[in-house]
Amino acid sequence: MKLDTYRISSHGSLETLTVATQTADPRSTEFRAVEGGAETMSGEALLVWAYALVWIILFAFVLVSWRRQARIDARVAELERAVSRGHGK
Amino acid sequence: MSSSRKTSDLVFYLVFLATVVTFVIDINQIFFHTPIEASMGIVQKIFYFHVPSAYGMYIGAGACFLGSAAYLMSPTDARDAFAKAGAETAVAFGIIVLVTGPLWAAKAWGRYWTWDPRLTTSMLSVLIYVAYVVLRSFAGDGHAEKKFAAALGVVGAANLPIIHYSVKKWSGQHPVVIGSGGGGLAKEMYPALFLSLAAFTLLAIVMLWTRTRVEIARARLRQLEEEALVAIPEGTT
Repeated sequence: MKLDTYRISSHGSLETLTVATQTADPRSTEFRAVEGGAETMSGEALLVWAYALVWIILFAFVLVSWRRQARIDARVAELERAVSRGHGK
Repeated sequence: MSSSRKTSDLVFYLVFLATVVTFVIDINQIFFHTPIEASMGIVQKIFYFHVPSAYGMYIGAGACFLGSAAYLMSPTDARDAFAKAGAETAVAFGIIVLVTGPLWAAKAWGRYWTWDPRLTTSMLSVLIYVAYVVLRSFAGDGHAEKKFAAALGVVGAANLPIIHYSVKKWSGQHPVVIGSGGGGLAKEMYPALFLSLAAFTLLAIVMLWTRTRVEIARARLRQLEEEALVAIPEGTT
């Protein structure tokens, strides 16, 4: 990106003045590994992510178990009633 | 509801309550009473959940091994349920280990993952228990499938000591802080670690208990469905 602006020169003519010149990097054509690497993430963010994901995984486990148990209990109760009715006939 | 079931429920709720209370105290200890580590900073606090999660994975895998071995010796629904619950618990804790470890590594090593022996063997173990759970989910509930899964549960446990000894036998980047060769923790860090180990042990018990009950209920459901097919004329349910 090239940004231009204009000013009046000391002798009265209009001059073009380039204030900033920004050009996009060329498209990456390769990814190169680096040993160690510069730090790009804060420890605080990583810590929050770690603890949040732990709780999400645990709650998902509990939720799935709870729902499965409730579905099975309901089906068992229904079947027990049906079986006892069937035996009564 | 029978009195033994009521007692069992009461014990379960007490264990559940103890788990919640221990976690609350533990989190308070980790964030308000445990110092920040000198070189890694605050990200080191992931350690207090990462290590106990690995321990929880061992508990689940151990339960899977015991349930599977017992099932192979003398098959019962309860033994099969315990083995399956163990595998599912191992998967849940294993995923936590594989999520929290790389988040710590991103800061400590500058990359999320390396093919370090402990990381690789840990991932392999999680994949074994994922395979077990997938097998149980899709292969049906016949005796042959259960026996095959039980064999996997027994053989899969062989990787657990390899995880433990991998850092000693092979070189790698994974830290060894506790145990032989490790420099140990600062004494102010031990309460948080012990509380976390207690909290995750209780949590593993709760998860094993819950999942075993679900699986026993499922086995009872299958039995009732078979009875219903015999006892009830078609179309009355």
